[in-house]
Amino acid sequence: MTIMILPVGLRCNLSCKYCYHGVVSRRLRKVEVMSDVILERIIRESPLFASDIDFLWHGGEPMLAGIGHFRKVIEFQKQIFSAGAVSSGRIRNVIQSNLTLLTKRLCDFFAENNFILSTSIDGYREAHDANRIYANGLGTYMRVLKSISMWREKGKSIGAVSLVTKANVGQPAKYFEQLKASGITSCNFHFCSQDEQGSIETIPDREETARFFKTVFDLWMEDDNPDFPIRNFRNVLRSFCGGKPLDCNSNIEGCRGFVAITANGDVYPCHRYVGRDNFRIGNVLETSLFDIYNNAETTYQEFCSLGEECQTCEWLNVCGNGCAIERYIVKGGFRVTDPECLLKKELFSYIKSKAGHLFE
Amino acid sequence: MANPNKGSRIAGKIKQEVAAENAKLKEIHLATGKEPLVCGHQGCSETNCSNYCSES
Repeated sequence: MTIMILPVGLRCNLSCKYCYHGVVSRRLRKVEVMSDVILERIIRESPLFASDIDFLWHGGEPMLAGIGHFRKVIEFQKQIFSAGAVSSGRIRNVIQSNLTLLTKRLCDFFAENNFILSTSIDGYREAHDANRIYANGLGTYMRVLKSISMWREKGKSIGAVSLVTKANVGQPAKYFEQLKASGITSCNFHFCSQDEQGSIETIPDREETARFFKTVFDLWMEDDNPDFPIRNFRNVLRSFCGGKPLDCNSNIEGCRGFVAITANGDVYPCHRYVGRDNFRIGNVLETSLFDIYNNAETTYQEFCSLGEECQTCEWLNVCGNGCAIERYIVKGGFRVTDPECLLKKELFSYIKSKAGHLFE
Repeated sequence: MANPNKGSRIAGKIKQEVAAENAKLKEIHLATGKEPLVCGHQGCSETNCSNYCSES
């Protein structure tokens, strides 16, 4: 079970052009840091969900909460969980961060307390800095590289989410080489999302995107380095030998493994719904988190619902019909096919044609 | 020059991982009588994500 905590809501120090929180984040930009009362309540209730819990610190930018917040996290977790649960990895703290606020002090603290860091990096400098910018318009690439290096010096690995946008879709080889050179140790490509505000201007067309992924897949296979996993491709390859997808958005029941809590205690099924009042499922100051989650069964069921086309699709076990909110935003409902259905089918077939024989 | 065995090391590691995961899932099923769900999420170590169960 993953408990996503947004300690400063959707507040962020960056102004990425394709941010999927575009519309709502402006409303929620002045959120304070989560209080100790809310934080303690969440951590205290978390064992009710499962014996294995990932606390996923998300945002916005979670490091805006400051080191004091994370010290409290560790303090409360030590009160609730046994030392064995933490040291065995059954209780984990994962931070999804843009890394622009990582200081040596924070770096030391996260390393000492076994946090797992994940970041976002869009290939190479020009492509990254075209979209991932500070409010003043300056790019963040060099700062992110510096932070990755600082973290790697601790002997730690770090994964990254990498977006495919108009700025990088034409340079797959450069993108792949620079990703490897950046210091990250694994990668998960994301399609650039649409939202009501319309980050459409950064979204490449389908043919270009297909070319990009096919080229990167070929390069990755040519490299043949199992220590630099690309999750999108691994999901497909895993299916050839009876494995299940590793991502929520590739897993039919993926949504069920998540619940997200914002700084003021509001609860949503996932961070992607934060700020959308029709998907607010409760507040931890009013109701127990565990009850909120269980009472939202109908909502989760709706997210995981499949249309007829998906039910008979040969790729369902790899695709899982994608991310529910993407379907909702682009197509206005959940029981519809993933907006990228055709593209995904093309890529799955390509991967099968190129690598299926390795699993026979 | 193209690598004639391209992808074989990646495929080998994936097959090992999946076999280990499936063995673990079977173990959970035998121990609990429940069908295990596989979680998937950002930041997951991928070796520790098959460990919560739904009611069977």
